[in-house]
Order: sequence, then C-alpha cells, then structure tokens
Amino acid sequence: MNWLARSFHKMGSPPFFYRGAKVWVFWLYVIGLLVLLVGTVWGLAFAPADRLQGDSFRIIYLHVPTAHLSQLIYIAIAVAGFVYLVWRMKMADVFIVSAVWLGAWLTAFALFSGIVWGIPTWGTGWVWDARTTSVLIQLFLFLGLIALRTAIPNSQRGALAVAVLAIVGVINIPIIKYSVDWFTTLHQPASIQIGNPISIDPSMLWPLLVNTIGLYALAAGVILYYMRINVLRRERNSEWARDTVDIS
Amino acid sequence: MAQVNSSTLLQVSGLEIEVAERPLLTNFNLNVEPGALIEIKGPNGSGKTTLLRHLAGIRRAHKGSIDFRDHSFAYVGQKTGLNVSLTVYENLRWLTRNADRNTSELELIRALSDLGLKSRRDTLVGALSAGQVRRCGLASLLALDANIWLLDEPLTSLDESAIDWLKGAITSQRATNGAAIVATHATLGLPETVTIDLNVS
Amino acid sequence: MNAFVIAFNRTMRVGWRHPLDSLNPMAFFIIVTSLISITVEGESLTTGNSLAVAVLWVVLLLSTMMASGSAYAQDYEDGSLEQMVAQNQSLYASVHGSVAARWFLSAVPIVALVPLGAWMLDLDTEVWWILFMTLIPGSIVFTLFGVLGATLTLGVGRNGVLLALLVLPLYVPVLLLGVGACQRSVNQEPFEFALIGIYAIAMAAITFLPFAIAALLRVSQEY
Repeated sequence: MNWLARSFHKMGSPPFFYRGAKVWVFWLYVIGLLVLLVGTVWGLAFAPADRLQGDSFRIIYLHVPTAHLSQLIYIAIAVAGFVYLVWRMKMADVFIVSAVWLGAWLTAFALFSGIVWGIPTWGTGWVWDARTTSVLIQLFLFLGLIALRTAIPNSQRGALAVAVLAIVGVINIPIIKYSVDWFTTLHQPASIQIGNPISIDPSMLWPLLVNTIGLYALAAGVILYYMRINVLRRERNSEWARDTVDIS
Repeated sequence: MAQVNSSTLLQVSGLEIEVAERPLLTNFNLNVEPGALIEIKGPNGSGKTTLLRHLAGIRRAHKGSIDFRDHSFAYVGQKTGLNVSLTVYENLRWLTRNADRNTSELELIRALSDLGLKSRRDTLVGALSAGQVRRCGLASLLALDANIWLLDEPLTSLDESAIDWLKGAITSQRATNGAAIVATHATLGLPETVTIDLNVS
Repeated sequence: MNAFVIAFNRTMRVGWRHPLDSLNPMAFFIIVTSLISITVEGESLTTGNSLAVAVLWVVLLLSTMMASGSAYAQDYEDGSLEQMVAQNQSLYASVHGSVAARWFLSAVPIVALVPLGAWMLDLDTEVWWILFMTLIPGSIVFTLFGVLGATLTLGVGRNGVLLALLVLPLYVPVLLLGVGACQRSVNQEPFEFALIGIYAIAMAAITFLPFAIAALLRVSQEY
C-alpha cells in the first residue's frame, strides 16, 4: 500500500510525470498504430463477411471500439473530476483538458460510423433508440465541457466548474439509456456482453478485439502526449519547466 | 505586545497566497491585538485586496491558518454588497442577518442616521449616488457591531465629512477593544498605525 | 433553516421588484405555444396527443431555462455573494432558499399556464392531471439545473448560448421520462415507472445539486 500511495503521489508531481511519460507516449503510439493496422487489415481483408449484412458489417471494426472508448473517456473524465474535487490534484485537471477533445472527436466518429453502418443495414441512418440518443447527448456533454473550459480563463475556477459538470453529466447517460430503452428499442442488442455467450463468430471477433486494444493504446498515447504539453504550459513559471525547455 | 495572548483578536500564521498560480505572499504572519489599526499598503497589483479577501474567508489559502478566535468581523469590499433593487434599510438588514446578527430596527436606524442616510431609509439603493452607496456600506460596519473591521479602499468616493466620520468611527472602534485592517493607498493618518508594505516583504 | 428563510425572502423580494423577469418567460410560453398551434394542422395535434404533450414540455423547459439563467448574476456583480461567502453562512441552505424562491417566481407561473397551453393544443383533459404530476417535479429539476448552469457561467459575459449548451443535455432524462409518462397515460399503458423515475430524480437533484451550486459559488470568488 505504501508503494501504491507513493507512486500515486509521484504521478501527481508534474516534473516526474513530464519526464516519465515521454517513453510511454512513444511506445503507445508505435504499438497502437501497429496493432490498429494489423486489426484493420485483418478485419477488412481476411475476416469472413457477415451472412446477413454482407461486407457492410465490417464497419464494426471501427464503430464498436470508438463508441466504447468514447464512453470510457467520458467516465474517466468524470472520475478525474471527482479526484479534482476531493483532492484538488492538478494532474486530474490536466487529464480532463487533454482528454476532452479526443473524447468529443471519438464520439462524433462513433455517431458518423453508426449512420454509415445503419443506412445499408436498417435502411435508415438514424434511429432514436437508447444507444444513439445517449451517444448524441454524450457528444453535447463533451462540447459543453469544452465550451465551459474555454469560457473561464481562471484555471482553478474553470477546472472546478468542468469537474462539477462532468460529474453531473455522467449520471445522466445511464438514465437516458434506461429511459429510452423503456420506450422500446429498434437497435440490435449489444453483441458482446459480459456473462452472456458471445453471439458473434470468433473469426469475426478476433480482429475486433485487436482493433480495440490498438485504439485504446493509441488513445492513451494521444492523451499522454497532450497531458505533457498541457502540464508544461501550466507550470511554465516553475523552475523545472524552464530548465526543461532550455535544454531541449 | 506582539506575542499571542488571550486577548488577541486575530492570529494569522504561515499564510501563503497564490494568484493565478504565482506566489504572492509566503509565510505571512500577523497578530491583531485589541485597539490595533493596520494599514496594508503597496502598489496596484501587489495583493492588498487579495490579502484582505483571504482574511475575510472569501478566498481560501492552500497553506497557513487564519484564526479569528471566535471574534466577529465585518468586511466592506470595493463592491458594497448592496442590491440595487432593495431599499437601504432592507439591504442593511440583510447584511446583518447574513452575518448571523439579530440587529434591532432601532440600531439599524441609528447606524443610518449616523451616516446621514436616515431620510433615505426606504430609497432603493439603485437610486442613490455613488457616495451615498459607499456611506450605506459603511453604515453596515456600525450595524454589524463586529470586533474586527476589514476595509478595502474605504476612502473611494467619500467626501470630506464622510472621511472624517470614518476616522472617528475607527478611533472609537479601537477605543472599544476592536481593531481595523485597512487596505489603502492613501494613509488615514491616525496615530499608532501599523503599516504592512506588501512591496517590501 | 434560518439561512434558507433569509435567502428565500431576499430572492422573493428582489423578484417582486422585477415582475418582468417572471412575466417574460410566461409571455414566451404563450407565444411559442400559439405559434405551434397556428402552424401545426389541427387534426395532427388531436390525433397525436403525444405531440401536444411534447410541445408543452419543451416550451416549459426553455422558459424555465431562460428564467433561471440569471440566478446569482446580480449578487455576483454587486458583492452580495462575497458577503455570503465571507460570513460563512450555510450556503447549502441558502442555495435551497434561493432556488425555492426562483421556482415560485419563474416555474410556478408557467406551470399554471399549462392548462391554457393544453387547451390551445387541444389536449385531452384526462391527461392534465398526469401532466401536472410530472411537470411539478420536472420544473423543480429544470430550475435546479438552470441555477447550476448559471453558477457555472457566473462572470462569463454573454452566457446565453453557453448556458443552453451546458444545461439542455442535462434536461434530457427528465424530459424523456415526463413526456413518456404522459404518452403512456394517453395510450392507457402503465406509466408508474416513469413517475417513480421522475420523482427519484427530483429528490436526488434537490439533495445533491445545491452542494455543487454552493461549491461553485464559493469558487466563483477565487478570481
């Protein structure tokens, strides 16, 4: 436990983070891109076509990982908001600022790829069902976070406001899901569910898992990359930041 | 006289203040004894207002402690805290209730008449002149009857007679075992004033 | 309790001196409802009561957002907020008092106008009671979120569009549940789920949001 507490404390220290994260950014980019390449080629060229949906189903290799990841990023932002509120840890705010744009783009891409998938599959690009609605609201929440953070110049106040909004927002997403589900759903039920037997053929599943891992690694790399930039900008008056910039 | 004793009104120790993540004050210590008048001086941007807001508990320091030892304080900032849609009397009553004081109507009116605002009792603050609004803010000092006064640039828009009144009020506040801390660029010129120069520290 | 009463009285008194702040959202409600009943064909409204219900909800939502968006703006400008924070009163209770007064000043008049709007939109009278049963907790939640949005953007100039961007997504769950309950009641389907949901959200919002609002009020002074 002592070790855990110490490393938690260390991660919260900007200079330690700045130096330590450099290697991680490089390797996460490299591994993420390679794995993503393997998964995408596998999924598009080698995995069998779907019996019912034909080749159009292949978009799930991008759609499903981005949708999952965007939601995960939103939850992570809310958790970071909580950490910021309780411990006033600056790195939590740095994480939020760095992840929020990526989250918004991924959400937008998930919606877009969903439309592209929906047109050949269901004959309509847009259905007001639980998942589509909650992802759309999630996009609005991301945009709200970005707008709020840009509108308040004071960094402490802006950070607190964004943390509160993220936490209040995250509670909304499951409620929206349940309340729309209650209205009845057109969407096909989620294919990969924990605890349920997987209803998708393994030969189709493997590239999906590979792509998910690749995208997660790449996203972690992107977030760390922006966190390093933001932490340097935030600490520009401190000695370690000046030293760092002078040397490199 | 400087050491802490049972009569000390306010004890500030090891205060550290940051503005926009730049340190403004480090290890700031202050003991306020009954009868003290402390003037905080310094050029614009040196943190007079910020220090006063910290003392009033409006901003929170991340290091150090501010201990009022159960003494009450009244804070009159550059913004007066008066709502333009409420009357002079309503505002004054709200300010006292807000500070958890049950000041009686008689006392409130006495405070107003002391500052020549008795006839304005039921006027909306929005209809007052700038100087009258400042006077009304100062009337809250009397109404609140606090041990320590925290005043931010109290001389702004005051005329001669109001300045004289303020000097008299501070003198009697000191005489009744109270104290005043004033952030100002122009000295009040009262005897036995302790000056804190933020530029030097 | 004391801080609650002080804040309630003060907000009511200030609101009383500015009747237009309450009347403008009411006028907005009437105008938008009439615009919709003018432009939408009569039959399509009566055949689908659901459209009328949705229209009433959305217009109420927008009027409440407009009305509560200016919460604490004046206190922030004139320094009263500074005094509240300085004297370390129970801000939680004070926020409750202020929000309650705002609800009376701006949401209750609009909810009172709903029968008029329902009549303009040809809504069946048997839906009225379920509409009220859901609009009352719904308008409380809308007011709370509106005040939250207002405190998030305190001191940010021209905050109208920003406020809408922040607050509208938060309104969605209550809107869905409220409209859903009314629609189901029109179709004579069970709607208890939505009713319970909306009251549960209202209780949670009343309990927890004032904490967030109070924290934001405090930090708004740390410029």
